[in-house]
Amino acid sequence: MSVELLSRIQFAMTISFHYVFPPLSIGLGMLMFFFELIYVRTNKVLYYNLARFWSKIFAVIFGMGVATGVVMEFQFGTNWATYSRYIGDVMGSVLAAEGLLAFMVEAGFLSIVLLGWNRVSKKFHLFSTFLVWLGSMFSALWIVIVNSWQQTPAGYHIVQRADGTFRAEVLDYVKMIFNPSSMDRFLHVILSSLLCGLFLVISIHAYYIFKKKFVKSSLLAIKVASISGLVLIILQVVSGHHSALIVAEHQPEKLASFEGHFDSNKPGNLYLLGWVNQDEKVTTGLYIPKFLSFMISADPNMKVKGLNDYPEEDLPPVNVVFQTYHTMVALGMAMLGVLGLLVFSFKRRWLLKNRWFQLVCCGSVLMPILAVQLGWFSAEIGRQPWIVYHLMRTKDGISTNLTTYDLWFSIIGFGVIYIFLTGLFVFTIRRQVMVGIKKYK
Amino acid sequence: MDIQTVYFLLIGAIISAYAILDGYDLGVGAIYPFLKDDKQRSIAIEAIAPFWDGNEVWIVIAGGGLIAGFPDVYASVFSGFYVPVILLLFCLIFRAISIENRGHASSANSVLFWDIAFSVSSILIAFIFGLLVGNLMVGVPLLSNGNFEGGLLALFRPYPVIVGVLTVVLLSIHGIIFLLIKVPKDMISRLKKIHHRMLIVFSILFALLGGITYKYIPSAFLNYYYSPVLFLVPLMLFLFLWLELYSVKRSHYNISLLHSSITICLVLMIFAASLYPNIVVSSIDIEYSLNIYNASSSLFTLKILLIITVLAIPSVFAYLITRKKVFSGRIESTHFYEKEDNSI
Repeated sequence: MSVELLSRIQFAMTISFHYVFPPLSIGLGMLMFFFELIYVRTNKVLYYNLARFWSKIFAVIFGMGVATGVVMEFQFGTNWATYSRYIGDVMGSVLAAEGLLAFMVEAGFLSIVLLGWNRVSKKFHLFSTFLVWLGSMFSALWIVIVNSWQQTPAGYHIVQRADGTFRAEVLDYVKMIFNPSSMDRFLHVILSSLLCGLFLVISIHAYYIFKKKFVKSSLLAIKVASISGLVLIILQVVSGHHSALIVAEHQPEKLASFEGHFDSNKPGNLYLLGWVNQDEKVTTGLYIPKFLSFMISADPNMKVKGLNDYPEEDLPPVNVVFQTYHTMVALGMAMLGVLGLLVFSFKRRWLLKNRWFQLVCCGSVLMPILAVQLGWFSAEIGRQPWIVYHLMRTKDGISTNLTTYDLWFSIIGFGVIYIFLTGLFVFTIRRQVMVGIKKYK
Repeated sequence: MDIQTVYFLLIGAIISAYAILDGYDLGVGAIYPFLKDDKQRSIAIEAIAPFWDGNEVWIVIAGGGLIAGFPDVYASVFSGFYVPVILLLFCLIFRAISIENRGHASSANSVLFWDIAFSVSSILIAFIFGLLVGNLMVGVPLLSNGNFEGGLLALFRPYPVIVGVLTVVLLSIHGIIFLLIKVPKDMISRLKKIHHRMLIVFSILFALLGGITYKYIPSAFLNYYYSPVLFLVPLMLFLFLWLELYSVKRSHYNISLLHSSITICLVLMIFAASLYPNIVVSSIDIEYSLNIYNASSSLFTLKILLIITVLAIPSVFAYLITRKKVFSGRIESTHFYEKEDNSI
């Protein structure tokens, strides 16, 4: 295997593993804040105990996020040196801002949230929880901006340097930060992250109900999580649609890959299921005719630019993009279903009576986690072969001094460590769940 | 002063902040084997528990600051030092996990496992940082395209290895002083003894290194000859080492922590003054070296970065002070981690 392929495998591996944890902690951060807020407003100790219980699981997840996140920043330098030289001027400042303005607030106040329960007033503790949650969202904001600039570059110009190489330099900071896709994608990422945390809470409390432990507080927690979840998932459907419009406008070949649309002279179909044969340029499956055209333009007969318009070497692996995208959408619909059922069954107490429903809720956290990963895959693979869209190819961004031995060393090392971490993570979470919700007050 | 120099100093300040803040918890890991028993080690872990993750943020900020201000240095150094940097990342992951799990571990075996993981990774992290700085001092086989020539072994030369050891000792001293502030009174006399010996080792190593540098890397003294006032920096280093010894003897540990923090700054300043205006010196052709001018971002970006930094400074101090206030005082018994968890 080549250095390029190995570097890509390594990046995909380390970033996918990392990307399990920040979304969970962003979502949990919100719920911890909600629980604590309700406690401070109503003085009901049940909510205090819930907040403390979840803060411990939060600590484990946050720790994993930090430990695996440091790798991300250094990998740009170790494995993608040419890319770093090319974009450093534009994206470095955004990464620096993430550290200085967001991550520091988050990590700085975390110790007060975790270890300061009896050391600060309850209002100050609530404020610290809020800052940690806010900090984690700001972190996500800066990171999504960095990534979005790779998708839809703006506010830059290309400059030739003294040694003859080229690089992108910032021309307009506002345009760079608010590039065409950053705000839509940020909203989409945040909503999905919040859903990850909410579903984790639903899952574990559904498990408690299944085991007939902590039933009263579990019902309360699920109520808070599923009502906020239903609101968020409806917003997410709207946000997803809007993000797709942005893709249609700025990355038309990516949109065509999402739906396996080849022929530019035809309106686009919207597939529910399907399979793309990229060699023969056909997509087969179950679809709603002309609905893609309708979705992006309100005109079912509008012709959608297709993949045939692009040279073969400028296209991503279309079927992968198609499948990851469609599975993400399907998972989103499934989440909508589960949350809807939960909210509308409060009165009839299904959750207490129906064992099957309890089990479904129990495993439901896998849906948002998988959806987040697949959404990320379709966004990132859909941009290929470009590392910076229409500016730099992925193969031109690698470090040119590395050998495959270097890469095997790091890939095997990360692999072993991540397998170990996964085991440890499951073990630790399981232990916390077994300890359960204690009565602190 | 031009804006590149200002930004060079700013990066230096951020690296100093990292070395001072994460330095004491790395140092705690480095002197961990000298602690007597399980109880002392538990106390040491608890002393750093509220701080270490906030401290580690600074390495992320330093990385972000480097890619923003000097993207070519960032790209060349991290791809050139590929294997050590990957090892560093492994250690950072392991260390984070071992601190968390050490606090909750139940059986004696798992406590031992996490103790070793914590200590070894802390020592290696400090050592690798020193190794990198040492290599930058000697110069690296940097080609005109920004790549390093030669493999891993080229990085394990005697000089960088000595700097690596020096870093471990320096941070150990810093870690001991942090512990002197936090631990129960009965641990103090032993720590003081270790501190005393470490200071002697550090002074000898540092003088030795100065001699070697003078003999083999004469270019490192160029800036000192241009502005002899710089010779004050190493002199001040010895002054502060002495002050530190004195304040530890008088049991004014908070002041000692200030002294050892200044010591760390001064050591970094000595290196920076030897390199400036270069950052990565090429041992192949001096023309290929990366300096603060040919490796920097555009002036516009540097200005924006300075504005972001100025905006962030108040919140930095707010969080540092709040954290220190909330978690002040000696640890008399182990109480941060809830021990009842261990029954499971």
